[in-house]
Amino acid sequence: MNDRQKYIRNFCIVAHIDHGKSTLADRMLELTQTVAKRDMEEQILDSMDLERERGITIKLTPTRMHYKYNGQEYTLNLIDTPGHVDFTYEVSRSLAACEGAVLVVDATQGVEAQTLSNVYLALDNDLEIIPVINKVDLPSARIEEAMQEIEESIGLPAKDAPQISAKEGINIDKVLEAIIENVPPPSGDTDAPLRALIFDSKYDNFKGAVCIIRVVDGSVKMGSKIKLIQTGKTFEVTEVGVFSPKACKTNVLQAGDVGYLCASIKEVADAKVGGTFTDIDADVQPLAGYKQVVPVVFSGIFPVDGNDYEELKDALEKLKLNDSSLQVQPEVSQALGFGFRCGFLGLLHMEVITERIEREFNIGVITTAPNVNYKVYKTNGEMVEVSNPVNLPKPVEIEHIEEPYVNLHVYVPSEYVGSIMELCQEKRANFIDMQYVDGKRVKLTYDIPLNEIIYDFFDQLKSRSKGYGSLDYELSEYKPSDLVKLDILLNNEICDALSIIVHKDKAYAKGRSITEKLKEVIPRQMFEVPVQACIGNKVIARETIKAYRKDVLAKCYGGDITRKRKLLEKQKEGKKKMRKIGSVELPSEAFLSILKTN
Amino acid sequence: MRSLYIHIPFCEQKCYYCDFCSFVVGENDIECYIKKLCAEIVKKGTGESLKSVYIGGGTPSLLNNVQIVTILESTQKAFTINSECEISIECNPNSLTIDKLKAYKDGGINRISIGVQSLNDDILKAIGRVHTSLDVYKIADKIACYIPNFNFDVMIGLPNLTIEDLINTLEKLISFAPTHISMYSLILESGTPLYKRVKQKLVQLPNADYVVEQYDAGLNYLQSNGYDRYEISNFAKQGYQCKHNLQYWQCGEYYGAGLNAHSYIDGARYCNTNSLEEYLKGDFQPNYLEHLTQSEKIEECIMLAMRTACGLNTVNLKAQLGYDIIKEKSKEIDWLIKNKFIERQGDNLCICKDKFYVSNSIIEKLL
Repeated sequence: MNDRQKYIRNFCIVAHIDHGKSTLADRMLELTQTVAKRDMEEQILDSMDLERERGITIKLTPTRMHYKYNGQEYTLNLIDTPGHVDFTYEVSRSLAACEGAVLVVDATQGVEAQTLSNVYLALDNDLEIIPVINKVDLPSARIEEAMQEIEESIGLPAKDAPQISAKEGINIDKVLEAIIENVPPPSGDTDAPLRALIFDSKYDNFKGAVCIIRVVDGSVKMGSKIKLIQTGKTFEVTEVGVFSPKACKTNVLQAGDVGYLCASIKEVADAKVGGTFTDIDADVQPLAGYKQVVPVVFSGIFPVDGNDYEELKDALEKLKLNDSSLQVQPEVSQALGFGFRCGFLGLLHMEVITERIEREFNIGVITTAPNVNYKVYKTNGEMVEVSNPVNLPKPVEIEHIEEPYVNLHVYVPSEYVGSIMELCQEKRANFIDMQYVDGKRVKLTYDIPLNEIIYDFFDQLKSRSKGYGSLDYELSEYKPSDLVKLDILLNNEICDALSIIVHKDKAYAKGRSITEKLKEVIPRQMFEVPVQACIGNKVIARETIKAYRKDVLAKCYGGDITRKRKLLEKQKEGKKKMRKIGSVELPSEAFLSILKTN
Repeated sequence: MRSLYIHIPFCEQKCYYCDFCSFVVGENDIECYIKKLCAEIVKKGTGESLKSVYIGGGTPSLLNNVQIVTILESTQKAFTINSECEISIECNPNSLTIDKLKAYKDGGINRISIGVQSLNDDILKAIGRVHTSLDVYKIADKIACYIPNFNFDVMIGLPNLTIEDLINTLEKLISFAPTHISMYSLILESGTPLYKRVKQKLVQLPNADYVVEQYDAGLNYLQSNGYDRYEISNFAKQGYQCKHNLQYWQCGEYYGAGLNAHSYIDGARYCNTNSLEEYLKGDFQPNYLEHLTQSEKIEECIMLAMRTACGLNTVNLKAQLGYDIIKEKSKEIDWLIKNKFIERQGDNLCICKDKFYVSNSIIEKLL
């Protein structure tokens, strides 16, 4: 290790949602004068509008800061990470670029399930953990208890943990000093051949792929000839730089540095996250990539306007570039035409992707009801995996179906245990275990079909525990289950995009709630529209959307004619934005409303 | 033949639902306005024969007899008015008197339209009308002696209006033997006092279903009493269809005189200033609105004709505007016919009798 590396610290911040991670990052930027106070925006690293609005971090953003400590200037690279369960994958990526992690614990809430799982991830990556107790300024802060929880549930000494208020800017310097004192400087050999891990990338219309890298060995600068070990493709570097927090060109990135490189990489697949760049003629081993994450929730994404198909394709490819957990395959639906079957890490991930398509690419999309991946054993001995209800074989061909189960942990204050257990029972969950985490908090463990938690489980959990519950899950195994395909017919025509696979015992209730919901969201048409839920040929629920009754009974004067014509033109334009299923005009919300039934 | 519309933008009080161009002003302003209005009519005059003249408002019956006569004289000076020409005036029941009826008749007016809206006094009050049912009863039986061709305006969709109220109103009005009845729905226009009251939930409007029930009940009652629906909201005894309205719906051209009056001349639409101040300064230069393109003409022709009971003459449309709707919209027309929204009657496409209330949706499919 050379002297330069000695003064570098690469770290991330791990915290549960709302525990103040982004606020702490803001204060660090301020204290290190990376961002002048007057330029400070709330949660500056959450650069997507979506992130700021929802108060969540979705993408990771690396930022370089400088801080003087004991007369020596240090370079601190902060890699912000998402907190939600759906984005664990992103977290594991950023951890690979760090030597340490700041664990933020909310003094009013204690250690949450998701924090734990991220801490374990960090420990698995041999990261040094720096516990920090936040929100100590609040009257409801339970500093002693939080410290005890950290020591008991994580096994970290918490005696010296900085007690801070990110919001009020109290003791932020203590955090930076703890990082410098405790996080080891990056190892790696500047003189060895280049090895740089791509841990994120985004697409820029002018520069091509912008790869966010951690240089482990060697160095890279403008003009360097490099290759991606995984594909063997070669590139010439056109720009290197760091984020502080806006992108700034630098001369070189060396072992231990975190920054970005551009090399006119046009193909999204050539900048795949997890890949390793090396010198063009070097023969070195790639760095350990990431555990390939498996999507667990699948749904169709279709353009509202069929003409936007190519743009949607392009948008999905660009999103895939920095989110390799997103799976995309072309799909054709009878009802919705050409679109894509996408695999997500969870429901929030799905919502975020669709919102990003709409906001960043300005394409209106329809998302169909989410599904999990089923294993269908056929009478002819074959097994097919089905993640789209449309592909479910005919009932006579099915021997049995297996569905994925997860091991679910719910952390909740003890007073809510009863209502949460009730919720789990409604969701076909098998109780496994109940443990007191501390005097007040309980960890419930259940074996539950994944299908039951992808819809509204999280919302229900939050509302039944007044916001205090949190959850965590991992896939366990496939188990046989009595499942049926529930079809929805509009005006006597099957709408394939509305079909779902459900447990037989729940089919009736689900059929009823979907038809009721559709009756609410589908505007009345020129004619009466029956909405039916069917299993095979059997109708199990029916609602009727009455015919639209009135659109004009007003007078029409000479002075109205222009206005009336324009109104009709506008109306016609509006109808174009609706999907037609047979002759029924459907607003795009109709498709998503299905998951909001219960 | 063209028509002429004359706008009188004055009212005693603005009705709560009204977003038309009208004001409450003093005698002096009215006098000045009439002078300018007559000047405009004379200026626009071409001497051509007119199909119809319509004095609308506002409340034209607020004008005194001298003012009305002046307007009629200017019109006669500027255009040719023969005996076939329909000359209508809009009146409010409380400002119409026998004296005025005489003057109208003498001046050549041959059609009167009276804004009754309802004979339920609570409702009249709630929508800000200045008249009461008593005002209607006082004058209604006198009208036919002077001007036998007259219309009553009746509204549906009014707050608290019941079907019983509506039928009661129609029954009483029909007893005065009008030749024509307009029955149309209240439209909530933003910016009106009623709009605010509805938004503040001080007033509740009936839902669409109930308005349609009212319409159907009114329609049946009117038809069984010999009033044929010749357009969505217009009903007439045979031979008494309003020529002036038909002019609009048949894409006929018309001059507009007065504040905010619209004209449709030589395929272009114009609109006069809506500033009373400007108008009183003598600014009659109509603001050009739009010169209709071929496809806009076609759209208007379809839109307007489909409002009428006899519908759209497809052969005429092809001959006049070169648009073969039967060919261009064959898929839509087939679907609409199959689902009994429209039907063919000879060369005409018309909306089925029981589907008028969704005519916008039908028309939209044909555009």
